[in-house]
Amino acid sequence: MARRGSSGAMVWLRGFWARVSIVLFIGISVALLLSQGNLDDPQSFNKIRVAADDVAAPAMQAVDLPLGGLSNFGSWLSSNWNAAERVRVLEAENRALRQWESLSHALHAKILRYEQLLNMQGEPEVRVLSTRVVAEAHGPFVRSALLRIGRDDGVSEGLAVVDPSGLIGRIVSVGKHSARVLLVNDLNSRIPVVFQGASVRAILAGDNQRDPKLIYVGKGFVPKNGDRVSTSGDDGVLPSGISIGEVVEVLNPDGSVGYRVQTYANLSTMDFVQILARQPAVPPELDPISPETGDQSIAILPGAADPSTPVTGELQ
Amino acid sequence: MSQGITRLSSVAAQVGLFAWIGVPTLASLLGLLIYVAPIHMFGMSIPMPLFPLMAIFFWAMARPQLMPPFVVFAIGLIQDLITGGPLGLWSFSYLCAYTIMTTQSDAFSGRGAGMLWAGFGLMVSLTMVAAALAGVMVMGAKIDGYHLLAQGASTFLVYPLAGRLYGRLQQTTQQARRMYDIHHGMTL
Repeated sequence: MARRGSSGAMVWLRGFWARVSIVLFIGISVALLLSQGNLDDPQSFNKIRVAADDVAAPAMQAVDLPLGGLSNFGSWLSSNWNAAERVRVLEAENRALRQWESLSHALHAKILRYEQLLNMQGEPEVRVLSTRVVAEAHGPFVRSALLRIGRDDGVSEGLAVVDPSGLIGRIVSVGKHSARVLLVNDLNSRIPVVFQGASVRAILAGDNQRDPKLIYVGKGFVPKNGDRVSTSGDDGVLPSGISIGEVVEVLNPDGSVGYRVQTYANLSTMDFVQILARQPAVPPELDPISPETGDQSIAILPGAADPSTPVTGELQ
Repeated sequence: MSQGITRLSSVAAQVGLFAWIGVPTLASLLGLLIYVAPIHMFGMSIPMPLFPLMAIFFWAMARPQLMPPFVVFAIGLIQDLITGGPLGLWSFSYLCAYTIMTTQSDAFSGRGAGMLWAGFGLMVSLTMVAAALAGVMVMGAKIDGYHLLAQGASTFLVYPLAGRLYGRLQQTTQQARRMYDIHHGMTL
């Protein structure tokens, strides 16, 4: 009798704990959600996130091995589909690209010569780190990717991530062996851009849609379909001149015309990516000149005896 | 000889006990890893089904004691961490759907595969509504509704296959549990 009573009490206690724990954990979830506000603070819970990424990245790589075979089979099947037609198109494209290649070689040589003549300074070298995407988040709330490369490999926050076609995003958090990329179409992504050939600035803002939108376009400038957009480098973090995509006009829900950028990089099928590791520009107040070395940063232009003497010249 | 068999059976039984307790959680975590894996078919990204939700539903209906609320919370939280999304979003969504479904489990479990699939459809709908609400609460009205619907649909469609797989896992762990109980002279 007493045994039956204690068993009943246990059942009641279990049921009670189940109900309490549901309320408790829903409460904790809501508290977590509210504590993040609208994610204005990118550092919120950053340490926990970075630690989780460090644990998840190797596990993801292990899972990716067998699943990668599945993806590769799909790619193989699609690349072999209508192969003759694809070869014809690629050959035509190759002929056109050869012409562009010779033109770009000539222009590159010309630019190098101009830079030499002008003694061009201030373009730091960019180190390229290649890696593979081990996890993607293309959910309705976030657009990010996880890389198996971290602080130990020289990665830091803010670096640009590209694929052979163009910009994908930038690094937002770095662990010891992992890094998270915020894609250009994520809600929290804001990148200063320039319209190629027009030198007009704008901001490329993600809103969790496929194509990010252009906001704060320079006064008086009306973008057109097909205008090319690249990074302006105004943030002092991303290098300037990284191709992003082309402008497409869209109709906003309120009937007004908006502008979005169709990215060259396919943000939904990332595989191998490159991180452009560049030393960010240090403001002069944080980079004082030491009295022993003196001012080494002033470039002495060719033909000028004294740096203070104005130099006039003609480009050849 | 007999000592060796006894020892082997003991090890198997210990592993069996571990499997019995940990399989639902491990299956959910494995589903989570597949969910975030970069799988592309024919050069396109597929709206990945929410595999963790399938595992939560399956065990919430089959053996709720193996899928307690804190495990559901942990799975949701790990999903938030791995995807880099707002913390608490998926744990909130999963827990809301889990709470409603466990109170209505009599209506779905033990009434055939079709009814169970319909129940899962309800679970997916509840999860998506909760996720959308939480998303709006945190990020304003800036969620990709189309993607949310596509994800819900793919999750619903894949469930019969995943459910069968989880069923097999459940049977195997049950056998392991029996072995353990026999080894320790207990009955189920």
